[in-house]
Amino acid sequence: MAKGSNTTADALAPAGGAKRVVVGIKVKFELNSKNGLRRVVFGLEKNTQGDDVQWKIDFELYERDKKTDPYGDPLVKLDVEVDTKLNSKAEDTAHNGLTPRQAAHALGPAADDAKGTITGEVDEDDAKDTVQATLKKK
Amino acid sequence: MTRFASAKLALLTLFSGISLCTYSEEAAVRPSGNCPLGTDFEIAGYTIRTVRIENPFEFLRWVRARIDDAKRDVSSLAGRPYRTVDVQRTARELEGANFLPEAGDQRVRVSLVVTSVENCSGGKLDLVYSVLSSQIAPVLSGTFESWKAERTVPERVAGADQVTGRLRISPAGGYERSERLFGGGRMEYRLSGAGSGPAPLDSLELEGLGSTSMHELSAALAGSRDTAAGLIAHADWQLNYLNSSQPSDQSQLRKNRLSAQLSAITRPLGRWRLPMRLGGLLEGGRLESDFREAALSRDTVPKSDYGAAKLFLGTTTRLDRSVLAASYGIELGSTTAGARMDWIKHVADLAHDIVLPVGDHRSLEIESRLTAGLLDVRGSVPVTARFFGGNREEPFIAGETWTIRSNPVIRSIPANRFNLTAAGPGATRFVAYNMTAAIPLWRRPIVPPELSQDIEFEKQLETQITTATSFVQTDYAARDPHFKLAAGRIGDVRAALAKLNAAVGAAASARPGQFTELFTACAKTIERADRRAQAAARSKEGEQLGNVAALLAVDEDRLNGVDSACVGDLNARIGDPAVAAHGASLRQIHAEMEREFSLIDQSSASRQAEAEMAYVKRTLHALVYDLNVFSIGPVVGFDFAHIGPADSRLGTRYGIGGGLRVTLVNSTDLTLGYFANPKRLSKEPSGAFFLSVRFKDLLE
Repeated sequence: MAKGSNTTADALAPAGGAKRVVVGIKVKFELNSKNGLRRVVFGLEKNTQGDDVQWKIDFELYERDKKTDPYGDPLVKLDVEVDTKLNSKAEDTAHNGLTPRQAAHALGPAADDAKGTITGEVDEDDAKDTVQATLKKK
Repeated sequence: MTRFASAKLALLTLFSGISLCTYSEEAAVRPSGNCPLGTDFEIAGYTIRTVRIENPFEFLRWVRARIDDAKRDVSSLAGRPYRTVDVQRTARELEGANFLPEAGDQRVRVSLVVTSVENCSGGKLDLVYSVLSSQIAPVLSGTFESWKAERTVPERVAGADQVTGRLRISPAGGYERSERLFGGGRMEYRLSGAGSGPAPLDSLELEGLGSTSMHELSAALAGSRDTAAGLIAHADWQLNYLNSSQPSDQSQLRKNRLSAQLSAITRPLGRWRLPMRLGGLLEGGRLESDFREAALSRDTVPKSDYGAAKLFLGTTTRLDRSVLAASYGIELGSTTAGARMDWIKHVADLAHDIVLPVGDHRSLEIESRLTAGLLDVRGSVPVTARFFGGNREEPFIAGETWTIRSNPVIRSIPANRFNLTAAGPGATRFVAYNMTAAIPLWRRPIVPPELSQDIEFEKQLETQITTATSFVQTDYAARDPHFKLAAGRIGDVRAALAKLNAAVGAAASARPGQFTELFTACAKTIERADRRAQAAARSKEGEQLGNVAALLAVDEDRLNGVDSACVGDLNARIGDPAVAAHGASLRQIHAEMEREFSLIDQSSASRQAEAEMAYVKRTLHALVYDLNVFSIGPVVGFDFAHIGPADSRLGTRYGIGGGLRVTLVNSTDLTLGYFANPKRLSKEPSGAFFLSVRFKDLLE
């Protein structure tokens, strides 16, 4: 990762310029299923270090048996590091949001394979491939 | 209902508002070193001077408690060198702190944590975490009432005040010429575990106001239910008792009644994607006055027991910069037991607000309201049931989720004093129009401008709304009849895969040691396809759509994979007739599923999802870009009203005036002003002073 400015703190305190500088944004959407038994969380995190920008997508799946039960810890939690230089599709997703096909893939196969890692039906690498494949959908 | 408060309270409130304004100004001009853009604060060797957490709803006790907890956790960063990994980790911890209560059936919850630095000087900086969390009801957030609530109680619209199991006390008080100096308040207890059961009970409410000339006491049990699916998006009910005595110019108007009402709002319907609202109410009790019978019209009595049924319907919609509500209500009333109908009352109410931005977090807001009523007396009617106008709104139904105005409101005449017609006191018809324009001159945004004006922040907000809309679209697509036909073949797919698998197994047994890789590849594709088919069979809606799609060419193309591996590759070498037959059967089912899936009306699903999420998007935008924690500004208005039966000299009035509106979302909402009455009868006042104050929860 290329680093940004290497100047010192005191030298970089001009009279003009931004009063407050945003160095990180975390936006998280929680989407609850209609029957109230499943929650999918898509979190997007941007971090700025100098001139470098790094994106990360968090995927979490929660399930419960009854609506009156709390969700508790996520059933599955996957972190997807987005390399903006190497993966333009990931960048598109990060900047434009998920398309309906990507959303359907995330809700269906990605979530199902992620759950499969718990029971041993699916290898973790296969599950990660399925989650990563979300980015390839149009 | 318009409330009025005392001048003393107004002065106190104004003072506190000015104090806050002063504090805000001081904060804005505090000497500070500016932080240069594009700096790696870790490499530049900065040390963290202080750490701060900001949340616009910090005035809510439970939010404040969580922030206090979080502050203890983040305070360890102060005095330490700036390290990006530590700063990011703290942001993640804050996101996990969850500054929203669990709220039943809301489909979408949004959480924003923005990390920023400021006051970079002397090798030190201040670290600020801004946290904004919101859970927005997709349909309810599009109502006229929700729009109005945003300005004064944004925490309610953001879903941050849905904490249960506690008492809320909100004092109120005021002065009005008819009602004089009065005081009182509202108590509400929201029950824990609300929203379940066949008749969910959410809250107990008690409200009382009193003065030397009036009193009003109401008690209510209320419940509601939100649904994530189906035609009805939200339903609420209320059992309400009211005992009131309101002054007019000649007599007290008394009500003592019990009512039970049920109302609901649908999901957006039809070509224009408008939600429908509908409801019904039964009430009974006694209506009284001090009028002499001789002073009243022949079909009107001064007092009587009564019973009434009300039906009401309407619609409401929220556009980018405006909101509209149209409501109609009919009341069938009787003064005797039995089926005789003594009067039929019709009320139509049209409300429109538009916001025209003139600067950052500064908009010209224009409110318009047109109301009309008609009373058809077929037997006898209590005079209190006739229309009395003035500077006081009379609601057609109880509750805050749907307001229908049912009397001529004219702010230049004291409450209930606009009532004289050719047939005596109390009108049988009216039309009234009210227009108010307001603009905040001084304000403090809920979301700091450094954040709301950040281009990247704006872009990411849009991105996440797009993502949420995509999820909702999958649910609508899953309702399409063509998808249901495609999904209906899942059982056939599984049966065909099982038969093909058996045929392949038999073929492998008949050919030991031959084509091992091809047999293995075929079996694996069958297993993977069957896994998706199983998932599709046990899932529903958007999740099922994703799993069905995984079998088809639009996604993972699992069934083509089976055909390719088992028929194209394997059976081309072994020529097994059973594999060929079962492969052909699977191909036929696959082709039919592909055809049905391709016929899903994605455009319609997209339109429905856009319509549903449009309200969330607009509400979120309002929270971030429009709303203020504190605002103060002028208000001007114009009113027109006509009551009948009366000619224009007797029955037509105007009101022209203005005032001041002060909103402190953490404590108070205040409006004061004066409206002149330019066309008045000889004994009427030249105008009316109005002042309304509403305080927030004392226990916060």
